[in-house]
Amino acid sequence: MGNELEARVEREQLEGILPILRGERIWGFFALTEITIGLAIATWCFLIGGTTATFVNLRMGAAAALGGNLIAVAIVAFSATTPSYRYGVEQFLLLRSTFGHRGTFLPMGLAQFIWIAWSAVLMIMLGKVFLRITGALTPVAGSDSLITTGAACAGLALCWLVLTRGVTGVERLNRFVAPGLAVIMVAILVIIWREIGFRQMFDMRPRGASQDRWFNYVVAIELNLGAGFGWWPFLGNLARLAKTRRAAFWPSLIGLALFASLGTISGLIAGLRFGSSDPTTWMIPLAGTALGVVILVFIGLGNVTATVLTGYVACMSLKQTSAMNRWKWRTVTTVFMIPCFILLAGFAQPLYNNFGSLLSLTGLFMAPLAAVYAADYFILKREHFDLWRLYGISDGKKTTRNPSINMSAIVAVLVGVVLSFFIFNPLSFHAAKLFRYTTASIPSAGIVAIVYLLLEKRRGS
Amino acid sequence: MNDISASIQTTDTSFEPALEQKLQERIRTVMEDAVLQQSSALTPWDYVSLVLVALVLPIIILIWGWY
Repeated sequence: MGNELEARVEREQLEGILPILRGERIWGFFALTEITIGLAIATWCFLIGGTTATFVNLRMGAAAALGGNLIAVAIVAFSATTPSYRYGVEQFLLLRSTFGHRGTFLPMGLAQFIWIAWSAVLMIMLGKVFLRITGALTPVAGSDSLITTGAACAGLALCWLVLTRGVTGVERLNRFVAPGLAVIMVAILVIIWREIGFRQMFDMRPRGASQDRWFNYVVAIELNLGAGFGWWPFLGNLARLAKTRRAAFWPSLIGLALFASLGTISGLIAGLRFGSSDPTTWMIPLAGTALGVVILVFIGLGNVTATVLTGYVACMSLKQTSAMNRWKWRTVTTVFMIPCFILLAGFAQPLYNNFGSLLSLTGLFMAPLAAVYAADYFILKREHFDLWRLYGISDGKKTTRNPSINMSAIVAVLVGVVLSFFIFNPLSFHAAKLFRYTTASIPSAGIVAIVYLLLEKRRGS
Repeated sequence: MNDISASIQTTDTSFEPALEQKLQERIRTVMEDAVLQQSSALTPWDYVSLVLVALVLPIIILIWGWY
């Protein structure tokens, strides 16, 4: 019975339900830096870089990638890692303090939407990898979209199978895939540099940009802010295992801001060179058929590991809900995968072709969530959450209950999302004048924090 | 096992009694640690470095990108 309980405790710790004590933390500064670099160097760097290349040249794109990611990752890392490190608890459980027990469904729902859409995009990219490889090796009869969707669905089924067995194997595989992708990124830079020279790399022009250079630049910054804000739901789960506060915060910046930006810049250069935001179209013209196919296979593997890791974080957060915390892991993974399959089957092409909209939506949803959480923890609660309340259990004297729904947080986030939508429409890319000076995510995050604090003050008085 | 499977239903999270006891021990340890250990609270230097990294450095980079 004792052993059974200890095993259960260990499992609950890993699944994010129990707090992890200081002595049990396993990741120091270098270990977490290695992990965040492994997460950052993924195939989505090519997609983000390729999309940025639609709007700006190399110099502006590199600055937008570095600047946008630094701002967003610094905000989300500060917001997410500090409380999770302090209490050793998963981020979605701590969010109960801000949104209330049932109110946590709002950040959960928004994060799930983003994770599902990103997973679907990665799988479509896998489908396109399959299409390019088969196209290069043998003439294939049949509809391109049918082949892509079929291969994407098969890839997603494989990811689901892997995910049901846990992520240990994928983490091991990612130790080879991430460095391999880093080599591919460097190879892209070297090949293009040797082909056209350093000066011409800076002279390449974006293909789909409007005449307004400043507007294009701000759009590129907004897209990279979205990419940076997208890390918010990932970071708490990493920080709870960090040995020191600085080990929880700085590796996120090194890996997710610096290395992700370098990956994005390689995608940006290739996107400018080949005039397409679809990375699967670059590799064979870039490296020839034989090497191009090898690179594509590697990118396919990268898509599988990235999707499994995304699915793992998504399912971990689902496990924090009362409805699912006693469900079997396999059932939770199925719940996550079903909408991914529906997206692939019904909207594969529009989703992939409008990746820029998904990036903007990521910023639009995540920036207000990060802002309200930071305002609650740092300003309102003065760096103190009451875990007894969050778990809803007795501390031996009394059971204090957390509110079911904190309407102030819900209203503030909705205000932020709507405001952001009016400043910059992520679907049509129409923008208000304010967008040219502030972007959309940054003012939205600021306003959300102010609205939340005002509503809470009014509620308290 | 039957009495264990008759789990305590709390506000939002359900735990078996034995596991809830473990949870209580852990929460007590973490709360005492979090309250007493000032090393986990943020220092002024943390806020200064955040402003440098999230504001000053990106602005310099973005100005470089434009000009």
